[in-house]
Amino acid sequence: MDFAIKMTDVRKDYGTFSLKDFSLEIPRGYVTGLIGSNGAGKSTMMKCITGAVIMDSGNVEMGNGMILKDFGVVFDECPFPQYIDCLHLSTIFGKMFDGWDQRRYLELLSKYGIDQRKKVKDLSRGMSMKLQIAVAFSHPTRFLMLDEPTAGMDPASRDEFLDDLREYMQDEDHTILISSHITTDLEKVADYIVFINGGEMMVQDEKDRFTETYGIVRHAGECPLDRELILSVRHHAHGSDYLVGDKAGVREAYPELVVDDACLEDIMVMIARGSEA
Amino acid sequence: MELIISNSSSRPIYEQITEQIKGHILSGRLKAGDPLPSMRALAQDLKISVITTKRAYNDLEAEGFITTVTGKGCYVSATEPSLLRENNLKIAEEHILKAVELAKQSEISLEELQEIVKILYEGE
Repeated sequence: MDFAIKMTDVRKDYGTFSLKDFSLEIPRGYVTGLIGSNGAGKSTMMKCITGAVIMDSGNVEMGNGMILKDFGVVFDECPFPQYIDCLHLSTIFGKMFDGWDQRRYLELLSKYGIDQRKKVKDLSRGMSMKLQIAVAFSHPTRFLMLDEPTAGMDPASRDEFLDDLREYMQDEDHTILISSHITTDLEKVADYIVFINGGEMMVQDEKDRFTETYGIVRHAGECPLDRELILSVRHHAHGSDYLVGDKAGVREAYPELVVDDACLEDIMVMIARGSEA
Repeated sequence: MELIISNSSSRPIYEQITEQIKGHILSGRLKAGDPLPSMRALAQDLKISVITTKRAYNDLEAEGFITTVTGKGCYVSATEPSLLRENNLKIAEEHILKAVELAKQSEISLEELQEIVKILYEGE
């Protein structure tokens, strides 16, 4: 499979936090969802891709002749000038981006319910995310990198936004990297999931494989499982939860055990907060 | 094309798609030469991963139900009715095998099982 972005041994040390020899291929033509706790390194990783952060070492490559101009980016903090209204932003972007489509931009503003006359500083968090999204969709791109784009958005807006992403993905040369703490959004839209924790890559796999293979065994008393099967364990007052990577296998080998399906959030919490067996 | 995908089913989504498309073809609702939606369009419509639709189409193609014309899309293959019957017979056999295994575990006799099959078959 060819890649849109390839990171090799990327290292960035902030003292208190570091990205440690981080390697990742983001497949071209697919949506990759990025999950991880606050401070896991998601934003740092994304900033290494755009060059907003200078890496200590390592390499970022773009695939299939892509260049930075092909990027559409949404940051967790709105980076636009605060005292300019949304309509006048269009003039600035018309000079910044090749192929800036003012008509589409204004259409998107009205679709997202953003008042053209409002200054950037007066937009709510959800609205300023939508503004950035409108900008990203108003110039030709091949790669969208979205850092927490759904933060502060209501459920109906999020759903509409996910539909826009699906529409974008009708072109097989398009690629999306999206991070979100709302893991259900990623379950809905991502093809691949990358889970990072403490500046390190924990898992990268197909989204469906996560939801189809991971499970949680709920049991009280002595650990009932072969230790090799357990990815993580959490003990509570009345028993323990064990995260397993092959729930079908466990269900077959231990038919007497309670094995629940695990969603992305369960998997993430179990790995981030659980301990090894 | 009608497709119903359940997220709570224990069957993987790609299998749900292949089974239902096969069903449409076997029942004649989809005919030889009918175009299928592109993998990306189907993924968008069903709000599922394009990896999943790709897998489903690959399986359907491997079993001879659809053909891909490069640059044009996927179409229902011209299939022999006897081939379809053969395929269904194979699937029925797999289901019966499961029932037989279950029966043996629980000491259900062959006669009892045959009786159930007879009642179900004639009841429909």
